[in-house]
Amino acid sequence: MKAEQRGVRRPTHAGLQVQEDLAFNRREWIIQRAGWFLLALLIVAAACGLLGKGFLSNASSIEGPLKLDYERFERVQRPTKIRLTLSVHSGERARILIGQDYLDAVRIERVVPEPESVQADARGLIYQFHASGEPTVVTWHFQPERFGVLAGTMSVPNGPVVSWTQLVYP
Amino acid sequence: MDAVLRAAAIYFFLLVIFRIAGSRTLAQMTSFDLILLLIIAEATQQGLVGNDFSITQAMLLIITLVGIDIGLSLLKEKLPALDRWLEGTPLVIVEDGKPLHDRMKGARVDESDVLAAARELQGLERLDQIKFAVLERTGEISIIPKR
Repeated sequence: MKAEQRGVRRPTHAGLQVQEDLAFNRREWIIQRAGWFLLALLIVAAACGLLGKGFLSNASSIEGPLKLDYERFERVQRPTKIRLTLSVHSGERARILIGQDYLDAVRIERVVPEPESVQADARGLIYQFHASGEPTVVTWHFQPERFGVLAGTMSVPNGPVVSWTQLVYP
Repeated sequence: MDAVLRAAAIYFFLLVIFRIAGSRTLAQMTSFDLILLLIIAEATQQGLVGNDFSITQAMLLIITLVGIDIGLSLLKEKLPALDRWLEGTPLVIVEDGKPLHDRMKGARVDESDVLAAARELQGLERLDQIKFAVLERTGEISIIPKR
């Protein structure tokens, strides 16, 4: 029993031909238990939103009259949204420019409310909405199309720019 | 390329998870374990296939999974250490009718598991009729009765 506790390999148990390796087993058990701990941590982190959708994931970015609600953590091809609150705009028109880099990385499914027009611009797309009061809230429903870090910018053309960064998991 | 990466990622992820869970986890196959296995398969499928339902994708996934499996088995022959890490080692848990408690605790096996295996495999009634019980790499317990 002493030799065993020191982790020395015992080739046979009184005639039983079995390739045991108790030292390895002990290492294996320690790693297994560490693995359980890691799994538990991962589950808690995921429940809190570290892998998307949860309080750790919710974020806002504010710049002048623009307030953007988004999620820090997204996943490829999972339907999601960003929500813009525009507290001041001129007249009955709200115009929003989204940078081309972001548009390249996502597939926009639906914009609520329906824009009056969408205009292609050298910098991206300019959405124009009919807006009778303030604030105006616009939601883009979309799916990330590639994983990695996704940086976006949104602005009132020639006005303040709000920018945000998301991490998209594969 | 996408299918190969998906299959490889899922293969190694499952390998790690099931090594962490231990060989006993799904070895005994109670009816609940069977359901668990089916749910795991269902959850895996979506990530594996993605939204490409072509035959090419399916075949590529299968080839990649089987290919990795063959590759690893060849590697395991060359590298015994890798073999141990991927498959584990057999462990004697009962010797001359005496349970080796610290080993059983480490491997999460108790006396009732050993007795169940002794009944099923050898029709034995008591622990002292067992010469050796070995927890095999598959997670099953093999019993050598005293003569």
